[in-house]
Amino acid sequence: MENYIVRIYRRDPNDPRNVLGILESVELETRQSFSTIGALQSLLVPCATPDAQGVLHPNTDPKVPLPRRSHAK
Amino acid sequence: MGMNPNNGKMHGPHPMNQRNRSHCEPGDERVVRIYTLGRFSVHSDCQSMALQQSRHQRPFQLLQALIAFGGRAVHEDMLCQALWPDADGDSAKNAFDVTVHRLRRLFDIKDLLIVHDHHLTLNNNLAWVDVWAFEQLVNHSERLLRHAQDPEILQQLATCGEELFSLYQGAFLERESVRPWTLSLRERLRSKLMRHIADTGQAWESARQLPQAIRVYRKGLEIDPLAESLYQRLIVCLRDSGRIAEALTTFQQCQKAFAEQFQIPPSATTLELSASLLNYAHHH
Repeated sequence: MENYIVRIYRRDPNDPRNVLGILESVELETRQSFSTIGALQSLLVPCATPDAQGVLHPNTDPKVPLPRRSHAK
Repeated sequence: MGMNPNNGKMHGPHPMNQRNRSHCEPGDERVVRIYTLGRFSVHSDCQSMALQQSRHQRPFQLLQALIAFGGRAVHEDMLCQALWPDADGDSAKNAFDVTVHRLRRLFDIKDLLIVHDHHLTLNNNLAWVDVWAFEQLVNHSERLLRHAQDPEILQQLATCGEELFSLYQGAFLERESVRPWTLSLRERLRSKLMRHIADTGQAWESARQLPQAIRVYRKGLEIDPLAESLYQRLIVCLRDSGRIAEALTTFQQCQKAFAEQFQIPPSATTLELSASLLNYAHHH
């Protein structure tokens, strides 16, 4: 199981997709910022690539390594 | 429990005035004191207990999990799932029974840990837990805030706030290895404290007690350096106190925090506030 804490610091009242926040990975002890819902999604879906509709799909191939994450804590 | 706003007396006893206040009060030698905020330490019979010995680790983890789940009437299945997630039902139950027995032997205090109908309780007549005291104090201050226009109540609020900061030495079990079951309580307590800070600061501002508001907002920013609303309130309080240089420094801190974390400037509201500082300096 992976555990994350999502902190939302700012919301754009005119566009609900624009949210400013921090994603903390509990196990990896990393912090990454995001400014849109899409960016948050991509942080949660390592090595994801968008399909023709722009929807992100997760990396399910175990041979593809997960990206390194910054240790900002 | 009612409150008489005329005499400033509070509803019920102040949580910190109850008998568990000090490490070792006369007649209170059997009370166990458990600290989980920022560190984990346990005192029994006025003595700090040795937590590092490996044979004590499982029993103390059970104690931590019990507190994380509220400490009262926690179902053994929840504790088994937290501590022995890979064990099957019977072996997890055996491990639980053995660990409860070992924890009881460590303290050797009758009725400290009560098992009833598959639920485990840490007896609050015999144990003081910082988390419980913290939550009591937060609730107490929320009641005080409803009458914060009364100067005596405001004074009680100040005392309450100092005790809260004194209790909150850090996040719940933050120095222990990462365990998912600590997160819910950890975040709930942090959130309560941040809300308390925002509400208390507002009460001090309404009472025009700006030095107290400034102190509270600064405490909040120590806990969360990205809480932009606290920067904004702090800038306003400093500006209205004529402390323009400090207000500008606060704005720069906010700017730096947002640049480092998000690579963006502070919000338009914060930027407008910083512009108002220069106008204020010009007119005063």
